[in-house]
Amino acid sequence: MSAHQALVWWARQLRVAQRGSGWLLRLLLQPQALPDPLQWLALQLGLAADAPWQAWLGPLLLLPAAQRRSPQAMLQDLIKGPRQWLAWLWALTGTGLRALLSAAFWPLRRAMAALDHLPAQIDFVSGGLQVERKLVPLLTTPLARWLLLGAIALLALTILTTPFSALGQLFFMLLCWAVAMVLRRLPGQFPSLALACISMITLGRYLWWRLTATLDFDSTGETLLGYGLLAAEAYTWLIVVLGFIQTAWPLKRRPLPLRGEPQQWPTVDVFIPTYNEDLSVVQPTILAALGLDWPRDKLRIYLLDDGRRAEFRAYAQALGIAYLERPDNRHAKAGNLNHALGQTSGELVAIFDCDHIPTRSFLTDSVGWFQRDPQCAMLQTPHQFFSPDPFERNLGTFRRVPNEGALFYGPVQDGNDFWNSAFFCGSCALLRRAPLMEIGGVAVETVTEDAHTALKLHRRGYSSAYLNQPLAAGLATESLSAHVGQRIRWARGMAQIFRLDNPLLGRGLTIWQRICYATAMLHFFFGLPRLVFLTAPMAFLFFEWHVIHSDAATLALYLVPYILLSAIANAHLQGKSRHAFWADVYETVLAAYVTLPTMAAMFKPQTGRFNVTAKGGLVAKPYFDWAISTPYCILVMLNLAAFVMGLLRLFVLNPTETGTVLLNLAWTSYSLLILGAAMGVAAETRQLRRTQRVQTHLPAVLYLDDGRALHCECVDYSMTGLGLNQPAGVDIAVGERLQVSLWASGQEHSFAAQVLLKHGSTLGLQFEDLSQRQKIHLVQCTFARPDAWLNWKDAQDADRPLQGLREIATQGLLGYWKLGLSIADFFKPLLRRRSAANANQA
Amino acid sequence: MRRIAFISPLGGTGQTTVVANLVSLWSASGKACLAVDLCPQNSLGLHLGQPTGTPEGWAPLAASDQWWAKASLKNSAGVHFLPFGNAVPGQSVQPALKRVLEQYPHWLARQLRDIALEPGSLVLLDVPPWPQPMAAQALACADLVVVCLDAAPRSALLQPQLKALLAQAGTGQALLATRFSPRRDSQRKALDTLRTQWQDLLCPYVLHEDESIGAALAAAHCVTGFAPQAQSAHDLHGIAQWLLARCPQGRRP
Repeated sequence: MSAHQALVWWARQLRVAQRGSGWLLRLLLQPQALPDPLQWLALQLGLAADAPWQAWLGPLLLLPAAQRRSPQAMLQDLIKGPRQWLAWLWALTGTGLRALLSAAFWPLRRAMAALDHLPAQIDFVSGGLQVERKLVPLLTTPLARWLLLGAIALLALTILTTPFSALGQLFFMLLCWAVAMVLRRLPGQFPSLALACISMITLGRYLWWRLTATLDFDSTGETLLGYGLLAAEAYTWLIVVLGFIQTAWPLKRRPLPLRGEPQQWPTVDVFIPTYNEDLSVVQPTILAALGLDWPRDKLRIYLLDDGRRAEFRAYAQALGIAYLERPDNRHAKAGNLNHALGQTSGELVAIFDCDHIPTRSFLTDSVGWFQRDPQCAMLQTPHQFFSPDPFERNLGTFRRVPNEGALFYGPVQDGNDFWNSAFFCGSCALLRRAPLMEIGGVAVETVTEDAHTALKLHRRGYSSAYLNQPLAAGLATESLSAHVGQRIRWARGMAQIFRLDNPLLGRGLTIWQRICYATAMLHFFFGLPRLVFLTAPMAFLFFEWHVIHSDAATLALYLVPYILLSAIANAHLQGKSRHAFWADVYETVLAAYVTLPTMAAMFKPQTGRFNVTAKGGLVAKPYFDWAISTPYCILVMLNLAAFVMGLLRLFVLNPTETGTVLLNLAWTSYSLLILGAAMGVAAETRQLRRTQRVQTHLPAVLYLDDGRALHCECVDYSMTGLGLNQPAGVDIAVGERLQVSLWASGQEHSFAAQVLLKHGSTLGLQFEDLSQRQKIHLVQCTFARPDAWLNWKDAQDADRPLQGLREIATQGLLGYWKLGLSIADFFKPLLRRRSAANANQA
Repeated sequence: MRRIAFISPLGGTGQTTVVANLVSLWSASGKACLAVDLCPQNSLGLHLGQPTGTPEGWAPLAASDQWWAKASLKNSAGVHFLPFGNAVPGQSVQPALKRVLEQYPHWLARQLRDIALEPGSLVLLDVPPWPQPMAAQALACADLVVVCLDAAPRSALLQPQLKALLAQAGTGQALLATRFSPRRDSQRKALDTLRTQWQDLLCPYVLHEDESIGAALAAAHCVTGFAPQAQSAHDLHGIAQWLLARCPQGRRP
């Protein structure tokens, strides 16, 4: 093959003419999709690309060809060419960066895979049994146990206080991380405890270092702010440690079968207190109470109406339940309950807030615990909500991310139960009358009568139980302002109890009960520390005050492992109830509001009224709640200013302190994201249905007018209608009247309905003239099914800390987007008015 | 071979419909099946697509001492069945058949055994009302006796008679409630009573009163194929599963 042949072959491969410019480009860059400048120019000039050079001269220099394009078009093409180049460059950079990053993280990924693989190699179960067999005989004497505990404490103290060099600390933390990665894959409660301990060690080392090495300040301002930040941090450490004790060993009670014949079961009074709620909200609760599985002669239902409404009285009479009212409204709900306690005599009292619909198995699943433990004075079940709360609705996380209450009604109450300090939450609970009367009925001294009542019962030596199985469900608060109002009441009430009847003092409690109650109450003091964390970096960014006396790298070496390991431990211990970093969002939203009430309650505990939480409402139009988001707006503004200031410091003012500036910038960015998510919650989305529809999958039968019975699936339900998946091959018209049936424990009940709408394959049905009996059946088929809320959590995403962080970041950015839209909406009418005025003038 | 006898103390319970649909369902799922119509009304064939007025059937053959299974038919869906046969005017097979049954108390069992069916195949017997001699023979040889009852107040009154009937059957027993319409209060109550009376013996799947059953019959089709979205089709699937799980493996030779 001659040289020329070879050249031609190569030229074909690279798809170029045998000309210099093309060769160069093709050889250096990708062989396709690149604009050849020469060819492009030739096209522009209307020449063949391989025209002789003389032909180029004319068009290039003078002669405008007839088909010459307009200058604008040429300009556009000129821009288009470089744009392609830029895009290509950009893509190349992206690929390169990704490759670089993945190469950099390769060792980490390998290490994580290896650590994940390791637990499968360990026969943990039989190993654990062996250890137990050897250890248990040794630990039978109290002395041995104390010795072991002492040794562990000594070891822990040594680990926490040993000074390390920076490299030493790095390696120690890597070791902790590696152990944690293995522990989280091991089954059982002991590895979980060990994991929590490791996260405590990282916390402890950070704490010790913070106390011994970072409190050296130059000025009074720095000293003040520095100790302030330390106090806020100390509060979180305290809560972490107390929370660790509180949730160390969740008891996880199961329903206990009843003993004896139904004639021997205790009598139960069901109290349904109401004040100003709509009858439509209360109806399902009453109907469900009527369907409770319990001997008829041992069940009495009372509607406690503090609103003294004739409509309610008539309804109660129509259904044959007792109606109680009182002349005044003293002590709100607590007073209402106490009044009813004076008029009734059942051995047990079940309390349901008027919107909490009990399942039919509520009593049969829970009363067994009262039979087994004669000292048991109270049994609480979780508060389950079938409508989204403002967080879930406005952030779009309903049934995907565990809500604010999930942590409390999961590990916290289960953990409390282990220490015999599960407390009463006001609704969905059973109380034994005798002990309750012994403490003078429901507590009235504070606005959280429920927790206080439980505290009084525990002081008398009674026990309590928590059954973590949703046996009732209700409506969540309808708007952010209502939600905030409710939380303010809780925070104020808890602070009141802390002040008036401090669980750490007084008689009758075990040390563990004191810790659990104190944790529950101290938890509500998160407001001020949270505000401190949201503003702390400003001390440096605005005033260049160093509130932590340390260089950024060392701080990161102590702080990052602490945050990382607590995220790992939390994801393992309570990932099903609270996703990583969501606590920050929940707390930030409330921080500005609970700070003052808790402080006020500490100083003047007698003030503060009971406010009723509004429920069952609708939000007709999306709006931004400016009133409630004022504090976040201020915080956002401050943080934005600090961020800009930080950029200035990074590039202009403090080029030597890059590390410190970057750390503060990162902190501020995180605060901004969290605040953005808080703004997102304040942007209320629409809530149009008057009655909440509950998503489900239930078998149903449609009975058409022509006698056909069709099997289909019910996809959602409410008290007024159903959503059905239309069976294939059947045409059902809007407006058609038919019967639909559902099952309740094997019994089929049918209801008359009309087709209201058709959306794809889904039919919307509205019930027609249901009798009271049918309504009871309907509630039995839907809300009151024993399994109605059991698998509710299965649909939730798993907790993965990094993903949580990404979700929070997205929510934060979305929040700002919504804020921007709201501002635009705010100015739109003004602009329109002005343009209208202009038009009028014209 | 597993023999499942369907019987009802009253008429109009949809027993033949159940037999025809179950045999179609099981055949479609690949099981070797044979449905035998033991009722002189000869209506099972109609449910399975046999043209009306065909006189062939096992009864005339048996009455004239011929091999009864010669009359077996197979429909277009591949379902095997043995019709009773139409009475030819002027010549009744009943007296001859009655004589045979009285003479041989195990006649039916033997005849069934002599049909060379694949092992594990299912034989469904559409049995005439008890206490006819044919019913007694069917009860005696069946591995599983399924009593069809309509979910109506009259069925709830039959507990003593049904107990006497089931006393003649082996251990494999089941009750099936049919023609249920939850819109009628009396039917719902009757079904509740049946549940308390029979508890686990009563199939949890209740065959609903459904226009699709009639429409399928008119179209000479089984409900499960004709209207798969019908509630009755859904019920029949459940019933088929439940009965199969309940049917003991070939109890007697």
